Amino acid sequence: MRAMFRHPVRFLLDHRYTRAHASEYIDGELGAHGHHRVDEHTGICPRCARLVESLRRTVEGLMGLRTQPAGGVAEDVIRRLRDEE
Amino acid sequence: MIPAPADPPAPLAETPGCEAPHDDRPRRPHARATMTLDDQHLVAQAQDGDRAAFEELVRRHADRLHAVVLRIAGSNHEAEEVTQEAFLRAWRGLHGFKGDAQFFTWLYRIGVNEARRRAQRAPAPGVVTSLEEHPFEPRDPGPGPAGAAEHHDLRLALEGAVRALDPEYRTPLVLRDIEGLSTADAAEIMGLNQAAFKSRLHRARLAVRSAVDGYLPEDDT
Repeated sequence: MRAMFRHPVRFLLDHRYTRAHASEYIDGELGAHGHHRVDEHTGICPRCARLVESLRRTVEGLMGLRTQPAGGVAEDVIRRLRDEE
Repeated sequence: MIPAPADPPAPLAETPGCEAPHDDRPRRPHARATMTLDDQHLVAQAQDGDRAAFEELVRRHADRLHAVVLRIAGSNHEAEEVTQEAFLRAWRGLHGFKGDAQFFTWLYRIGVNEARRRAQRAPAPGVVTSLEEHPFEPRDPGPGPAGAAEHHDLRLALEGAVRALDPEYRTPLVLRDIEGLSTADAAEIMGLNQAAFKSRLHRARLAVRSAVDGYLPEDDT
């Protein structure tokens, strides 16, 4: 937390940046500079570190919601297409 | 519930060309396999009036499209109607498909737009998806029955939180996080530029994270 007192403006800017770009960070869609900026900030800001980590776990959970398709939908569509002819 | 945004989806005719995804996140087979040279070949044949070729496209994409619109439209009945309608419209409008987008993003855009329209008109209560019928095995159920129960609770909480989102925010979450599409494909399907799509996805994730915070596993690092 000492960095917050040593460079308060930079800390605040990085704080806002991290909160705005946390999704891109965990998706690997930030450029090298942005990624490094978030890395550095989360190293000194426990709140942002928690946000990034909980967001990452949320996305992992969402990825696990994918279900197998019910099946049989295609045949119903094909039947309907043939009926429409 | 997050309020509906002011930027409506662009019309289908404005579908932009395909851009390669540029993220490093591992994609599911769905995202990689849906567009192949075979799709282009089948589309060309179908544009020449070969209905068997179009039926092959239906077999490739119908089940997955149904799964996507089910989460957006909210009921099996609506999802079946939307899926059938999407393919009918695609078949009728196939000559207007110029091939500057992937077939599946063009098709999904028709279906997703219709599902969003219906979801906005009549938000559907109740179950969004038939998890009990076709669940995926959890990747890491945790140690023993307690871990499995926690996983189940998290899953239910996530399902509820996704369902509670406005369809304009639920859709990017479904396409990107649940279905595993790339940002480029998902944005194209929604008719948004990537910056707008990412912004909406981030807000949706934050809303879900807030709703399930108590269910998330503790940080063990």
